[in-house]
Amino acid sequence: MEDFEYAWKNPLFNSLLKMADTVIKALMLDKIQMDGKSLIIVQHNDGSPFLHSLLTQSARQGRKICLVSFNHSVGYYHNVGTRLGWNLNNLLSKNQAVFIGGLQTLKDSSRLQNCSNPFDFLFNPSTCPIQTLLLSIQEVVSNWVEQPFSLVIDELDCLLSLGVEPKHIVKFFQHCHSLVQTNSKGSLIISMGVTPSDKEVIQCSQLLAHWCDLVITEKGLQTGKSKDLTGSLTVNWNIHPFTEQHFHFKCYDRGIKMFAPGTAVL
Amino acid sequence: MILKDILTQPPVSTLIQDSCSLKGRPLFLSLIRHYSENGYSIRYFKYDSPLSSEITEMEQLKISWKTSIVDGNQDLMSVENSWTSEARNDQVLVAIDSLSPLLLNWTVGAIASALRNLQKTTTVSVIALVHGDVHDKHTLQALNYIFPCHLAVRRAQGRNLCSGTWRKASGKITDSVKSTCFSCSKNLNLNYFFFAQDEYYSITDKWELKDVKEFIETQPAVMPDSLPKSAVPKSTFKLDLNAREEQARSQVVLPYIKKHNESSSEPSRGKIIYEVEAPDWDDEDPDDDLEI
Repeated sequence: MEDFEYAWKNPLFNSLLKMADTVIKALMLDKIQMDGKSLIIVQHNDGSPFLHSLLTQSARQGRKICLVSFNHSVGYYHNVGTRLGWNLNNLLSKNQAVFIGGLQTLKDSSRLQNCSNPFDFLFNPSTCPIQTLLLSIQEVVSNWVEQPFSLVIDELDCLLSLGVEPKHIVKFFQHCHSLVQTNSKGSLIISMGVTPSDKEVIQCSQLLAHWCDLVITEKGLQTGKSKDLTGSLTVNWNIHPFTEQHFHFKCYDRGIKMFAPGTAVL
Repeated sequence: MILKDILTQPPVSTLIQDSCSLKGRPLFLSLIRHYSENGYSIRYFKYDSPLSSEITEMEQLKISWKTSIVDGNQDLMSVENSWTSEARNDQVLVAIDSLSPLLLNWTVGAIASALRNLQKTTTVSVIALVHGDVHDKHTLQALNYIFPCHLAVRRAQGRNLCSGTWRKASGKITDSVKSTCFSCSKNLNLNYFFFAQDEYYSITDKWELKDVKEFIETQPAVMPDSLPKSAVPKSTFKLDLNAREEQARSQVVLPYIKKHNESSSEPSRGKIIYEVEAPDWDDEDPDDDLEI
């Protein structure tokens, strides 16, 4: 919070805040608290800019952040976060945030089982390959009792690419979900990349969409590419206010602009 | 009127199929509440991860529940035993929310066997929810064989609609009626329409099912003379034509099409008039100047 108090005088930072506020208002997260709730971002394109907006929002609100990533390093999130106005390395040093590399944890779990190949767990159906990852998350979250925190899992579909079965991923989600709901001040944010030809990913994402309070679906434009817009966004609330809203958005280096459909060029 | 008939009779094993566009859980809970008020004891098995609002909802309904995370490593028999142990007398209704996590861990055949065993060993009815957009058609069709009553919920014209099939014990099958009719327009085009007699319903804050009425929805079939939908790209702009615009387009005379029915009395344009000149023959011998 000290970083934000100092930076508010910077006009560039003010423009970043305005863009971040637009996203948060479009998702209605300025009116609805995410404590005890879950959110899924279903992305049909690579790399969701909205996950970073939500990370920024969590950092601004002073929430503890447990960030689990299967595809990117901590440096990537720090670099993107710097563009959006917050410093991940600073939060890590102050124990305000914890970064868990998903693939590293999976590799370490296979070492403990004395496997010659780190992917041996794929051929051993009796073991739960992501149990170690779950225990790591549980250990981090247990230290934050009665403190608001955000458990952010980026690109959960990477586990499917590794060969983990959908039933294990669903079970992993349920455990994370129960962790968040046990602590009434926690929130769960998950992103999943979806390919239309991959039935397992679609099956997983559809099932998790039924279980999340807020579903954000991010797609490209139906008619192709545009210089004015990056894609379309659908925001579905499965709880009150039970609304479904559609937006267009444009990604910039330092944020996202949201538009009502058809108003991008106005 | 399947939903209306269900409410007037003892519980029937029912499968409710929903999707992300319209959740079937409110209908599922309202049916449970209806049977609970009619003296049936509810045994609620929760396999889905609950939404944040569900804790309050279950408190309102005064139904005890506990979320179970399905473990694929355990035998399905243990799940079946948990259902059977709770169903010890006739006035019990087993509610399963939902079958989708079970279907991820076990085959539809195994789930069907477990449900069939439950229905054979006890006389309880089972009401279950399944997410139709998670599973393939083959799995959903297989589940239809287990449950005599199958309801599918959807949203249309701003209303909650319910359609389904009910195979009664007597052998009679009640289905949301779908019929086809056609009408003939002035230009001799045949227009086909499908009628679906679904039911629309609403649910109050206290989970009461009300306003269950017949809803007749007409859907025009594909117009043979109109542009095929696949040829028109999807866009936020209006690219297709309505009936009036198509008629106006059919009346446009294209300039390059020859007119075969021109009348001869009409003055012609661009006519070439050729007058034959008088011959200018010369009487003199042209070779006269030659000194042959």
